[in-house]
Amino acid sequence: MTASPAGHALSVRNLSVEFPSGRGRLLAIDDVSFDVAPGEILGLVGESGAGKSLTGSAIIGLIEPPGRIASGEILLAGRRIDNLDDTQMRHVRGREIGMIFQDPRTSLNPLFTVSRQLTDTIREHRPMSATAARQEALRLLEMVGIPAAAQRLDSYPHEFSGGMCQRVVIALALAAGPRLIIADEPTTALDVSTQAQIMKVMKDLCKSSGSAMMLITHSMGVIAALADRVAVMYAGRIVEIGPVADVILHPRHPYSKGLIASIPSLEQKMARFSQIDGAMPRLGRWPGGCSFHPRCPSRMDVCSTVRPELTEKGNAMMACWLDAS
Amino acid sequence: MLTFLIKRLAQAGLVLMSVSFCSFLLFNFVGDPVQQMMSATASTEDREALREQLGLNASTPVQFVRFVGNIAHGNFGNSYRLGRPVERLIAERLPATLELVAVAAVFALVLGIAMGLQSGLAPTSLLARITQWGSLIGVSLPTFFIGIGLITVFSVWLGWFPAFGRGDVIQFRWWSTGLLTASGLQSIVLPAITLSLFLMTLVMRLVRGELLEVMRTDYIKFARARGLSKRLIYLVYAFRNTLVPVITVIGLQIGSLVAFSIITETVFNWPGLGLMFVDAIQFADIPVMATYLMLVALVFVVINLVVDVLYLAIDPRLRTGSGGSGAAT
Amino acid sequence: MLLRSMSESHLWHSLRQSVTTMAALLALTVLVVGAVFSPWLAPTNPFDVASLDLLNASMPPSWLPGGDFKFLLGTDAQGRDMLSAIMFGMRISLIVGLCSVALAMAIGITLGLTAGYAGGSVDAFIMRFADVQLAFPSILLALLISGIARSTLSSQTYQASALWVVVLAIGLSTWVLFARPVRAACMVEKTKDYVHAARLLGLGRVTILLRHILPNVLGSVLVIATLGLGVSVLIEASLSFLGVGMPPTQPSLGTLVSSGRDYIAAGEWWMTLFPALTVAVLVLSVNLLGDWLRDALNPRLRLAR
Repeated sequence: MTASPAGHALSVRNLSVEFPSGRGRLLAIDDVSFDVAPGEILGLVGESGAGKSLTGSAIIGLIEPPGRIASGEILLAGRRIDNLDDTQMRHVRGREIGMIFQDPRTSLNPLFTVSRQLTDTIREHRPMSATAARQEALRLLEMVGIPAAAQRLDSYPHEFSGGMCQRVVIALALAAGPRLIIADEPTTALDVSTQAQIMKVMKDLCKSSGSAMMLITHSMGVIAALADRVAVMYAGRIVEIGPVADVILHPRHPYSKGLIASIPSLEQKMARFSQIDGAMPRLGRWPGGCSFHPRCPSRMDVCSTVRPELTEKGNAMMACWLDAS
Repeated sequence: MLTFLIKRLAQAGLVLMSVSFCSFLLFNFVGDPVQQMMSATASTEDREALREQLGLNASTPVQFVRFVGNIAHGNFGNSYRLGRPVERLIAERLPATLELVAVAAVFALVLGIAMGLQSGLAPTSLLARITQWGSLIGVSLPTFFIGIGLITVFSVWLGWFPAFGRGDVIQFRWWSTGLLTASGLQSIVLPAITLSLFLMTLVMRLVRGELLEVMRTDYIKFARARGLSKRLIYLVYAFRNTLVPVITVIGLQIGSLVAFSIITETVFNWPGLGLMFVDAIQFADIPVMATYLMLVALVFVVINLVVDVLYLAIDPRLRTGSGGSGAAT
Repeated sequence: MLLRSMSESHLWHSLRQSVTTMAALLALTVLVVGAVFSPWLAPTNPFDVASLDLLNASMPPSWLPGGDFKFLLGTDAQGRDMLSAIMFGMRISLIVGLCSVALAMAIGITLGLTAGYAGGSVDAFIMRFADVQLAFPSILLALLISGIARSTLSSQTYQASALWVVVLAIGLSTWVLFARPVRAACMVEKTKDYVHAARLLGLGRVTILLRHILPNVLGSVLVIATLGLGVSVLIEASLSFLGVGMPPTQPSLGTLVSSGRDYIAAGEWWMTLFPALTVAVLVLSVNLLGDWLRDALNPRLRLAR
């Protein structure tokens, strides 16, 4: 945790994102810090509304207005990118950070061929002739495992199945060889048999290219299959972060325990943890102290008044008063 | 794709047939042409002679066959009022109307799309707000009001443009054009603006609305996340998606430009088909009315076919029929 | 029943929130009062030929040089006061507009309910007919109907019944506006339990349609009727402007615009601009009010056009 930022593919330092509202500014992401090493896959897990996707949007500089970064720094290979202007940021997007969205069917423009969308992206970042870009597009499609790619280059997105579309989306995200890939629920919209294939493609590509990946998902199962490390988010904050093996086998934060109990295959081992009651409150209704305390099975008096900070516990870090001695 | 076009052609033919049948009914059962063509003091023999000459004494089926045959030969009868062949009258008036409609359509499309894109991409800008308000008023105002307003301001008060007529025209065989003379160009400005305003505001609102929809889609977010240039995202990717629904409406409305040209031509005394049609109605000149009706129907049918073809060119999903028949994973 | 069922205070509240709608309502009230009470409110009676004085002919509006305070908006070529002519003309425009809407509503509701309730080939026939008519601009259709009336009726009969010819022309060319949404609403309503119940009770078709289904589509009909009034006034003005609507003996606003048009070239613009402006304000305020009514009654309601 003390390595210099330059060694990390991505470094997020004390990031806060705010939305102006009738009752003043609402913090949707509150003082979040984490690092991703080159070639590493960091999972970001939590319920919807916890701020996972927003963290991804903040990193790539595409927060929907009126939301904005209130404070903090984002460093990509040691270079600050959160204060770049629009043109500079455009060269970071796609070239240095690739993004994969949830639904492959809606991520591709239905009116343009796959080759057109690929070559436009390739030539935006790497000046080359049209024929060279077409060769490169073909190479990318083969790399993500599309069979008979040469024949399908000039197909339209509606001529592909969901899984094949997601492969095309991955090829598009990788078109300029980014050092970081942000994958926002990349398998949620796919059917179960396809999910495993896509996860394998992503893992292999990450390892072979040395790109870092930030994997945003609500499913601990996906994390267990793909990630090296995991950060658990709740109500705009990271509550626990550490190596996947440690967090999944020995979760310490009550919220992590609840999430892990919801993985079906592990349920029997963790039988004594019931599922979490209730739902995460909406933005603006987050309680004081530890935001999780109203739903926490092991809450104490201190939880509702003082907010716990992330502290080191063995291999992991967590924010909870439980083991604070 | 071919079956789609053939189906559409068959539909178009059906529409044209039913309109010509309506025209035939109009021709034969509405009013008494003899009454219209002769003075009240004409003798019964004279009336009967004219009746025979016009073929009005034959039985109905015979008359219909004759009617269709005449149409097929490009013979639409004689105008009751002017006593000249209707097809000749139409040919004389057609260039004026087509030029007016064409210039108005270009105005409406170019300006409407430009303003729609502008106010869709920067919905809070001052210009966008002004055009939004302008379009609300533009949709509610009657065509003749706009025409009279423009004449009052730009012809009467400022004297910049002529208030009436088509200016000097140049004749090429049977086509007369006013687009090649200075006075002709000056004359077409006000009528074309008047005629285009309704369509322009419609196009603008439509493009703006669709663009705002499209900008929210995942594929545009993904395109931005790939760092594509704004020009490529907005003017190529988003624009083509915007066009798909816009084209239908534009296609239908260009047809109504022809209908609305009736009013514009009356306001500006523009010597086109619309003016001729209004005269025909006032004098119950049935052959002219019926022919105009068939002509408008033809224009509608042709435009609809063009829209269908444009659809195929823009949206690949239509080309493969139902779509989504790609290979499995 | 409809207006009482939704709380009036809610309507009033949303009305007061929109400045534009308030302005439209105010403008409409002024115009309608001026039109309805024109025989008492108008400065002169434009139809009283004896009162006309050619010495007063073609006078500009009162605030321009040569204007007279007696004739606020100037006079026409016969020395008729423009303001009075506009007030009387608007009365005719409104009568034609309201009657046309009533006719279109009667045809549209009847055919819409029939199509929606009967379904099958009756529905297909009516709706195919409506589709074809919808593709044709209503102004063209109205022109045609009035043209046919002109050639079938003798000129005296035509003069006497001009108003009803115009009403018929507009009503027949706008009924589709009502038929489509009424049919759609009817198809939704007829599947509901209370209609099934009514049918099981042995109520007749007409009773079910009028007592149970019609009240449920009245909301949409009210909105369309408002917007339809704007459309009708516009078509009437256009027809009269083209010389095939109201004759000069019964001048509507469109007739005034038309007869004043010849004097524009001579610089006497007020004879045509003021009546045209009145039509514009009338239609614009009716449309604004209709739009507001649509949103206020049901934000999800997307009916007209």
